[in-house]
Amino acid sequence: MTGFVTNSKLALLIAWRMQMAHRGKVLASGIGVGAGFFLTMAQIGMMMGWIETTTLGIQRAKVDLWVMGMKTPAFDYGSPIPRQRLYRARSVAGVAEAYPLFMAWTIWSRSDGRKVNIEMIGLDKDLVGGPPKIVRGDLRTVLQERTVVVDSIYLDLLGVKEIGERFEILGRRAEVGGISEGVRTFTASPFVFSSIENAILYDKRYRNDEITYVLVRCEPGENVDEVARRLREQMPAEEVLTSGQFAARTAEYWMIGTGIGFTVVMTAVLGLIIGALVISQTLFSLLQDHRQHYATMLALGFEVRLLGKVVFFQALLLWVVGAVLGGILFYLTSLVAESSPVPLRMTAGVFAMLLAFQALASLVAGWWILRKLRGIDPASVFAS
Amino acid sequence: MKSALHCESIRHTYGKGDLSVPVLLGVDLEIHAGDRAILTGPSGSGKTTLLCIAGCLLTPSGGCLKIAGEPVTNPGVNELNRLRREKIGFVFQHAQLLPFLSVRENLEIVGRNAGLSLAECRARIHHLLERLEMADHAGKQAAVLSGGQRQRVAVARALLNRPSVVLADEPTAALGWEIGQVVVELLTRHATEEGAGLLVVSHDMRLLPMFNRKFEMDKGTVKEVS
Repeated sequence: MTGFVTNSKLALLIAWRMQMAHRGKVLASGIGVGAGFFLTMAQIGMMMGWIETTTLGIQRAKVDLWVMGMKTPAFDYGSPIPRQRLYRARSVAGVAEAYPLFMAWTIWSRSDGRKVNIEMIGLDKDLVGGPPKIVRGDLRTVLQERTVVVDSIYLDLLGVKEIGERFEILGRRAEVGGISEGVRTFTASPFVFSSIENAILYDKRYRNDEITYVLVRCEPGENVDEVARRLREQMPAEEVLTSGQFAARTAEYWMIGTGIGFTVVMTAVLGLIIGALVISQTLFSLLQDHRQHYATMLALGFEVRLLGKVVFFQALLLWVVGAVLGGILFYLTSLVAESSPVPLRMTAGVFAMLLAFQALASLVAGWWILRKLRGIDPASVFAS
Repeated sequence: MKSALHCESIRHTYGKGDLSVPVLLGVDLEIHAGDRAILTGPSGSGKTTLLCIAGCLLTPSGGCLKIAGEPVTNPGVNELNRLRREKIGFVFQHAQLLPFLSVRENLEIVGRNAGLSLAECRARIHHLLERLEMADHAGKQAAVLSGGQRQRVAVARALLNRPSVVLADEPTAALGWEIGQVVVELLTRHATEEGAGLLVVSHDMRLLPMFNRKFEMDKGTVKEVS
């Protein structure tokens, strides 16, 4: 009986050489596994990108608490609340600053007559909740009458080429005063920034004394949950959430409420299954090709456990090839997607988790083949 | 003399009930260390079944089997594996080397699997390949060897772990007569020198003079012939 290390070395040698004798097959399988792995990573990366996109409006405000209409399902679907809530929030102990934010859906008319749904964000003079980066013009221009800032990703969609160009929003003139970068939207309706006053002008459904959110920054060292409790006491008709809670609710609405997350996860699982199926088919094919050699090794006293390791090492080698190819493809795709409305995101932790899932799927495929291996009769070596 | 293989009243039947086919009807066979034995017989007489039982690849329906004096009674799979690794050497009809490994690796995996240290294993491989005039081919892929060369490596593999008994199934069937003769000559000489008992199953009557003990199998029984 050999030791575990020797045993593993022998299994690795046999597995490696056996696969290298079928380089074409292994490469083709690796591409298949890589495609499956890429599919999984792309889906998860897309979902992470979407979650980031859906919550970007919340994250970029860099505030502690949000006051909003009761049961607001997501950032994009805020309902009007009285502007008076802003002043009430400012009077609550522990609140350092409170800012109003306006959000409404409206219609942008391009110069060619095409109409585009937009999400109009109204900022107050502090510009809290505005885009983090301006590449042309100045964000402060939104405080000028009938002036807006649009994002570079959506210039084509909005038909914008230059600063100073004029368009119409619900039949009223709007001039582009600046172009931002990195403000994506999940809804395919671009965010357009303006002042609260301008925004209300562009959407007559709101009254002049209405806003959508009150954004609250707490005093340094103040307990955010405690401040939230005080705000709720002062404004029982509104809902008060921390930025994290509001981001989670928004992400949950888009990912779970709309069913998109389920579809994405299902497709990701499909990618894992494709990888596992390709691996199992390849291992099965290798097993069939080398059935006689496995029988010989069994006859020579090799234990099924050692030969099982051969199969598992082969599964892991295919997994490595697939993970490397899939990883490279994902990286290249994510570079391309960076400048698109659908970014791909991945963290080291999620990547490691996906690798682990794919490895597990590979091992399951190996285990299935191991059952076939057990069925080989070593005595068959005398019959050939 | 030391017993290498002891078969006593070995019986074996394939199938059950009305479909049962008795193949071995009580085989008695004793091979000692240093014996060069050949077993001949018509096709279907049960030679391969006996070889499978003697090689611990098949459990007999009845009778007593001992390998190097060690009784093989109700053994588990691991025990049978151990016996095959440590006490039995095999030479198959088509050598059955692993074609994707080199000659040295083909031998090394068998030696290492039997528990030889790497140094011990390599020394033993070098020694055997030298004696079988295959040392120059040690680094070659098994797939590129000729039939005769493969069988020489198979002989080295069978002797590597210093087995008590070497079982060979038609070792010349896939070779021409001259090469086959050389392989059997090497097999008988080295098995004897290594102190193993050798049992070769063959149809080829031209090989008979190379063996000191001859057995004939007919209708499920074995008898020694002069």
